[in-house]
Amino acid sequence: MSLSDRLGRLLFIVPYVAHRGGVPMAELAQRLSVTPAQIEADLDLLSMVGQPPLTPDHLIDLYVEDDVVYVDLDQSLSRPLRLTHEEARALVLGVRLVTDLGGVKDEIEVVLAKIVAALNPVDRALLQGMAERIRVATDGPSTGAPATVLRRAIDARHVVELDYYSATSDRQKLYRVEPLALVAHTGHEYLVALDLAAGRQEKLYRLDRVGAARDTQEPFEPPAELDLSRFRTQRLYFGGGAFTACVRFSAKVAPAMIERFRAEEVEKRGDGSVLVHVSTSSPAWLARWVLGFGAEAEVIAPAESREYISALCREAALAYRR
Amino acid sequence: MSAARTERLLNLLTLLLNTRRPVSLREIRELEEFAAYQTSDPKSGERAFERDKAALIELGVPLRWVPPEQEDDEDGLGGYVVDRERYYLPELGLAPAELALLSIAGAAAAGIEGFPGRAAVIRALAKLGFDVDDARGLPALAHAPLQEGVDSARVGEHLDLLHGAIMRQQSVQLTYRGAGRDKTRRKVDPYGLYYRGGAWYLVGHCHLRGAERTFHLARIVELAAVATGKSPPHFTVPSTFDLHAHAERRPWELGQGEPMTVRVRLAARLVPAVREIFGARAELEQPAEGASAASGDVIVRLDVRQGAQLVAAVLPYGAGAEVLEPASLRAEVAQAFARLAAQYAGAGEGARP
Repeated sequence: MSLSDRLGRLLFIVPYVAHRGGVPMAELAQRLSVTPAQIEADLDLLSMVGQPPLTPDHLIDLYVEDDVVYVDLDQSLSRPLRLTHEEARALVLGVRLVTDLGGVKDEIEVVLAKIVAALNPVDRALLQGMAERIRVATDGPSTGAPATVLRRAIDARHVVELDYYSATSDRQKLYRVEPLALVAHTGHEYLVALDLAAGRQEKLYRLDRVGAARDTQEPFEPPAELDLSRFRTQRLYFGGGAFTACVRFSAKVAPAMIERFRAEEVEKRGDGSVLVHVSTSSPAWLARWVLGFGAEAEVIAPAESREYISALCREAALAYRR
Repeated sequence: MSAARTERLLNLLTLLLNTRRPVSLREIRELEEFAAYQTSDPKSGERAFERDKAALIELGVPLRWVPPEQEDDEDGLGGYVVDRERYYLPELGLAPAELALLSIAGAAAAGIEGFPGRAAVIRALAKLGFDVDDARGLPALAHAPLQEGVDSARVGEHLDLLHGAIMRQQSVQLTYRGAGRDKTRRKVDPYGLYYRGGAWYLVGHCHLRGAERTFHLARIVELAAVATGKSPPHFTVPSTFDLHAHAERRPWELGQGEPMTVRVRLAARLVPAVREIFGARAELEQPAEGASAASGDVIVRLDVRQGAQLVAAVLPYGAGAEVLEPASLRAEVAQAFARLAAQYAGAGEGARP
């Protein structure tokens, strides 16, 4: 823990507790993302400081009763220290990561502008233009621009209908869903919703595959607990893979595959090519992924997947002969 | 870092915050709480004070020295003040829902693996919540994970350092591992950072190549701010620089020269995914009267500089994304499908010579 981390926290605790007039230790720990033991150590230290010479009426007067913290004398630490450029810049980065997420982009920019405006002049000058210096690549809104409809429906707890391109089945389908939350992951935006036709099974719908979204005005009761932190993972899983496919990649693209996959998934071969074993539940997904490499990749197994790609290529070859 | 020093810093800050006139170093030294500045060698005590002062300033405390001009300055040394106006966080008038939005953003930044700015985010959100009550916000989460297998602690640290260097317009020195494993040392003026598909990229002016270059953060082996006598800004970002174009461009858009216009027929079922397939700059032609409009198919227009890359982009969709024009590119795709169809007609690679 660096000095400034702890000092910054201490300078927050005094005014926060004085302002709220009694704050449970657990709340402090949670707000500052540290353990209650750390808060206790912080309070011990704070009770020994103040305005030198440290006569009793010059000390920060702080005490704990039934695990609730009180401050009687704040020694002019009555409000937190203004945001620094480091803190503001970390927020700018976070705001960029949120991308648009249901049309919040414009609102969040307005809030960010308020914060930057309240910085000290030097810090404010440093932050100028910072928002244009960082970016998360997205493909822009889908044709139907359904994000705001979805956001309102989540808020109002209304069932929505989605025209959706299902990549798993390579078909466009109509879904009736109970929308619960929005998630931005790896630059893609998703709706978390319960599929009414599938026994209210939870599914993720990519916003850039939604053609249109309609609010049915039909109310629903969302689950009491919704833990979104489970999406804070490296990959978003759409259920376990139903089968394992084996794909050969030529020597030209092999290094990229070795970098991307785990060692146990990659089998190196003498000619520089590699075999990659991937778990998937969708032949359509597999076909799309492998065909993107053109002649540099080929599905070796299973036979059903080869047959799927074969049919796709025959149909396409025929279409191009028109 | 010692608790004793943290105590001393807090005492120093509280002293200056509560004293309405400049306080000289002599006065500070006389207080027994500041024995650390009262050394046998006065120079070393002064250095200890300078270090503490610097730590407070780095934390954002508006501490400054005032020259000796006031009448009550007995020593003629000048003194130190903390500007209260600038110290206290002003009321921002944030609505609870606005704070909730910022919390989503803050959690996203704090969630970057190995990102050293996590503590700053937590502090920022705590401060912003000072005058605002908690509210139920939009249930949303943003997460930008790193690809598997990268050294996330190093990438996170470099991300923070580059982000800071971009803010200060400070040049950096980096060691870069190329695709061929060769390492080069370069001086770079960092213009911007973007995240795409689990990886961070730096765009900047590379002094080694004398041109704008993009660097994959996972391949930056070493990184440091350039130590010159000159304080930043070390450069200005050209007004023509467009990070958006770097981050969002598709492989077929890369390169020099005049682009060719390519027309692709996209099957009705794929229309919702047009942005995913062709990116933000794809244009949809207004449907002409006739059969194709009734089917729901659309015609997509693209500016293409690298035909081979577009071929790779349409192959996954088979007849669903059919290149119509130009004829040369259409012939290329047709040939690719004929070859693939022949390849997959066999029993697998073992059957081929």
